[in-house]
Amino acid sequence: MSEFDVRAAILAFFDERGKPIPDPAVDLFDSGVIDSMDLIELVAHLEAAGQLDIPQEFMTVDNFRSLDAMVHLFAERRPA
Amino acid sequence: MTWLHQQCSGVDIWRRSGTGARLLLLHGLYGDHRYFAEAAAAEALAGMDLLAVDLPGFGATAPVDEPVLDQMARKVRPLCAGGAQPVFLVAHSMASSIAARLLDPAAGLISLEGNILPPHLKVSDRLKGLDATAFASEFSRLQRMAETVVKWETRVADAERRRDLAQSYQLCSADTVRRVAVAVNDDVRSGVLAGFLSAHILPMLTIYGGASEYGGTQAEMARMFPGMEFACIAAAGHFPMLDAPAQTYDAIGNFVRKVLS
Repeated sequence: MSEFDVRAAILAFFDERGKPIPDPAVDLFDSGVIDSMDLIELVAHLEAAGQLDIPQEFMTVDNFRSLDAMVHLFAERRPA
Repeated sequence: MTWLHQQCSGVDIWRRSGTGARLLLLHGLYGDHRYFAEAAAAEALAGMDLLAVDLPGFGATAPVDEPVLDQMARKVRPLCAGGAQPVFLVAHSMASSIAARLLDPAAGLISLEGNILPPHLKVSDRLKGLDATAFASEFSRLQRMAETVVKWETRVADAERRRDLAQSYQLCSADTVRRVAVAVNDDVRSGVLAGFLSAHILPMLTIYGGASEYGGTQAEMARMFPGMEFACIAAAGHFPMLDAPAQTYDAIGNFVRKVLS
């Protein structure tokens, strides 16, 4: 998946759940836009779609704090 | 004042002994005794006999067979035999279904963001929609993300404390969590839980977080359970005992003293 694809997939994921992300830089943690169960579902969705695996040490709040942060995380981990 | 680890009839408990009323502290899904650690230092609970329980299948206590809620309550029931001490049940989230089965020996029930009405079932609704394989995969992911989940869902500022709380996710199994979540969901939706609460005339207090969705269900709770009291902990979400321990334990201590006066 390209970085563009990852971004589109994340946006679509939250749009489908009625929780559109207002801005790529908005702090999702402080704003409460999504909850922790949403995060776990998202990780499952992207790991399956992108055929990648996110190690435990990368499962931090900062890596999921915003859309930009998540795109960076998954784009870095996608297979070459 | 520290907790002393004991075992009673195969149930692991952490106890801060006291000569006053006994408080049975029952955690929610994925949790264990450590979610009530701050209770020992709470001035409002001074002198009370605190028992923080690892419910069967969580923490250090072995799981039980079906029917899971009845069996969990059966294992915990001996802890309610406080002798001359009155026993109060403090039930967080899914533990409402356990506490509801222990009301006959209790002097009162304190529901902490308890799963009592269908709107409280967001988590178990989701888990119920997953088959065993899908849930096992998600559970594994949840365990990897446990510290992130604790940070996202609570207002605990101390990183070491969050790491401690995250340990409870490693001590339960996907099978137990799924069985309990499905049973709790059925317990509420079928009306069985409400039936238990309605059948017993005893003092009840519901504590909810001001930042939680549970506050919106107060009116319905008051209608279904006349006489139920309510306390809102403004600075808290779904984990009042972690987010605002002093205020939460003040509410509990005041309620217990009022009932016993």
